[in-house]
Amino acid sequence: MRLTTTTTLVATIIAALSLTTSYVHAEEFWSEQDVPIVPQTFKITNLLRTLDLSKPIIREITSAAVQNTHADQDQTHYYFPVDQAYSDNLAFISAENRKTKEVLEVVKDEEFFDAQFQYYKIKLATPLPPGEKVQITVRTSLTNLIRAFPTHVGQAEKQKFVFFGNPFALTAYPAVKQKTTVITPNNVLEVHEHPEEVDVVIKNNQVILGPYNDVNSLEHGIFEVQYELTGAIPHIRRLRREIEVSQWGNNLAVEEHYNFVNRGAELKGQFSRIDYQRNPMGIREGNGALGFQTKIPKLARDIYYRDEIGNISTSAIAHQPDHIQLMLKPRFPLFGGWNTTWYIGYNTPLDGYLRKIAGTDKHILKVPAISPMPDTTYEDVEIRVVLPEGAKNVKAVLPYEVDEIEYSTTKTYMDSAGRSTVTILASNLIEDHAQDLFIEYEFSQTSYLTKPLAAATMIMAIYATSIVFSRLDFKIGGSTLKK
Amino acid sequence: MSATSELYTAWSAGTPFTAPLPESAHPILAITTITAGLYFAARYGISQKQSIAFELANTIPSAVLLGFGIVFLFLSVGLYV
Repeated sequence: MRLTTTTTLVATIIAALSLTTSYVHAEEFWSEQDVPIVPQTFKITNLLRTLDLSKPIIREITSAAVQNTHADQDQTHYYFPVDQAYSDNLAFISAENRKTKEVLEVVKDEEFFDAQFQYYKIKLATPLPPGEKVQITVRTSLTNLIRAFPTHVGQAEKQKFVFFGNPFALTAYPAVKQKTTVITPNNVLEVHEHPEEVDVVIKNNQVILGPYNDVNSLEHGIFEVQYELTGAIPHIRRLRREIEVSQWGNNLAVEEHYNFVNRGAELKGQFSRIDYQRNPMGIREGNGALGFQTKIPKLARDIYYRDEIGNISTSAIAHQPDHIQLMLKPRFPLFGGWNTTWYIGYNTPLDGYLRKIAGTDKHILKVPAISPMPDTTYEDVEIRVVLPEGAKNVKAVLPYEVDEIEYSTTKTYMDSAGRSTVTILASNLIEDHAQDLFIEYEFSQTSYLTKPLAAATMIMAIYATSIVFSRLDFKIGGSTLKK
Repeated sequence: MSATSELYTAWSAGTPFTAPLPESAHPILAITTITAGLYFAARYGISQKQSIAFELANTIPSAVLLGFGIVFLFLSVGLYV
């Protein structure tokens, strides 16, 4: 008995040691050599990667010339890895063929599970024969990755940010040659890299890392770049967008509730109103959020901009050829860490959004999921679409993944059975997500009568009580028997 | 992704939504239906001890007309029900 327990104990210790030794590396680079688990059927002959840091949302554009290295099989999918640590930061990913500019389908891969990397499957436009090359451009947008450094700046001082990144493009296949260019808004302040063997060239506002030859797949290191970025870092903590469809009134009512915070460097000391008003030129270069811009439909009317206190009068609209540009100015400038809430709303005619399939009761509604605000990240978004009473078999479809789609009923004015509602919960959205949301439902022509007849029934109930009561005798005393 | 492109083609192929009534008609219809409804209601209200047939012949049209009138009234003031 005792012998077996000691042997199991020794066995577990040896097993634990062997597991830990697999994480100890002996490579040149400090990170362990990861082995990609996707089929190794490509070879990257040349890769150019651009990391655009000139906006608060980081855009990474990776252009790769890939070659099919499989002996005899046509390849249909190209795998693109993203570090799992960035899974919360990755807001948007899209791919296109570099030569033809044809958009390629990108799907999050469910087949290959890796603890450290999430693979995205890009479907090639045509299957690639063995030995052939194709050029693919993958664009990713990453949010919440830059940090203000220093965290507190004066009112008119310039903001500096620090970004940590990978000097190598993360690829699932080995690359013969690759180069990364980091673009900053102004001159680069400082660059540190680790490991020190990587070549770095700093040219005004660009940091060129590379070109590196014979890079293994999933190669990574760390480099740090410090740069200056003026302006606010707009971030919407919570957006609730309510869309109400009224078929009786041919109207689409939209109301959006925003909770906004500026994620830039915070103010050192107190806000000085004197400095702010005395030196408006300095503040134009400053870091406060002074206004918001968004696009609303061309035929929008009854536009309002309010908050808890009441109407905010500092707003303006500009009519553009295909939309209305809404310019909102909050009651106070928003410096780093400051936040505000507001809601806007408008009515537009429904015929631009709702179409009916001829011959059936099916209706399809096409609305933008969110209204785009430039360079803004949305943390928590709730989109609620209230359909007219009598809508059945409701189904909502979005072009990208969301957290949850719920179907329920709400009761508002003059409702008897309640109106079908679709609630969509999404997180980490950016301007690119302002794409169309489709909702299809069935609505028969007789459902139009529900509302008037519901009101008529209530009024009839009053009349019926009156008819019945007028025929009842409530007299006290005076019996009919009395002669 | 393909589900949205499917729906997009279906959407493009559909006929644009047309309201059951033109919007300019809402205020006029509201006024006329409510007036007619109130006329029948008044006829019932001032009547004394008539037959049930008479009373129903006034209350039912009144209720229906007032029901429609309320919907048009809501629509004409901007409360899109």
